[in-house]
Amino acid sequence: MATLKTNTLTGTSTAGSIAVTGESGSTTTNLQQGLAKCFCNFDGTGTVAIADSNNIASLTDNDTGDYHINLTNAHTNTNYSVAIASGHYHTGHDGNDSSSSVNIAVYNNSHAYANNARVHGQTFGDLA
Amino acid sequence: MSTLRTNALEGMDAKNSITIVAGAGNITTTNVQGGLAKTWIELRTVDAAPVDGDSLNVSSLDDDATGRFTVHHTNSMGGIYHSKTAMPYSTTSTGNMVQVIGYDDQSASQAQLTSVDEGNSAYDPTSLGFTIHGDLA
Repeated sequence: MATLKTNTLTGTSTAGSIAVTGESGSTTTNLQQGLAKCFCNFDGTGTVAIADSNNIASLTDNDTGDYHINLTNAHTNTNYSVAIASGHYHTGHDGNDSSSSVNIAVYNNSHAYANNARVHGQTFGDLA
Repeated sequence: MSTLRTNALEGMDAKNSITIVAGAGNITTTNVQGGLAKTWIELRTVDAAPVDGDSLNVSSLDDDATGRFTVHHTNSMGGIYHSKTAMPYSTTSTGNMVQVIGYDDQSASQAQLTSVDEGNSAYDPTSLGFTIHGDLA
C-alpha cells in the first residue's frame, strides 16, 4: 500500500481545490468542499464551555438558549451550511448573520428558549 | 491537471494532522483530519427495527425502544465529547412533523439516538441521517 506522508496539501491548478476519486472509482468529489469547516460540542448551561471543537475561537452566551459560536477562520460569505442538534431539545438558528459567527438557538419541548448541556454544531462551505 | 495516486495519507510531523489550503482566496488553511466525518449513517426503520442503509464506521445497531436506537462504532472516538448532528425523515406525518434527536449518552464507542414528533412522543422515523465529527481514538 502506498502512503503519502505530508504536512500540507495544496491544489496545483487552484490552491484551494483538490479532486478525490469517489467510492465508485470513477466519479470525483472535492476534498476541500467535503470537509466540515468547523465543529463543536459545548455545554450551554451555567458558564458555557466548549468540550471539543475545530476552528472555534470562542463561544458567546447571549441569553437563555441563545448562543454564538465564533470561528477562528471565517467563511467567505454567509451562505454556508449549518447543522446543529442538542440533547432532547429542539434547535434552530437565526440565519447566518455573519461569516465568522454562527447563531445557535435551543428550545425545550414547550418550544421556549432553554439552556442545554449537550449542544452540537457543524458548518460546511468555503472558508475565506 | 496533475494527479497524485496514493492509497493512504499521513501527516509527516504528526501522523494525525495534515493541513490543507481550503479558502476561497487560496490562502486560508484547515485541517483534513479535523474536517472529516468520522461516522455517518442512513438509518432506516423496517418493521419497527433499525436497518443500516449505508454507513461509515458503524459496526452494529441496537433497537432500544420505539424511536430509540444505539449506533455502535467500529472504531471508537477519542473521548466522550464530539460533535453529533442528525435529521430524521418521515413519510407518515399527519401534520407538521417536527422531530429532534436526543442524546442520552456521552460515549466514545456508541451513540444513542431518540426520534420524537412535535408532541414529544418517541416514534420510528422512516429514516434518519446521523453524523459525527471529532477525534478518533
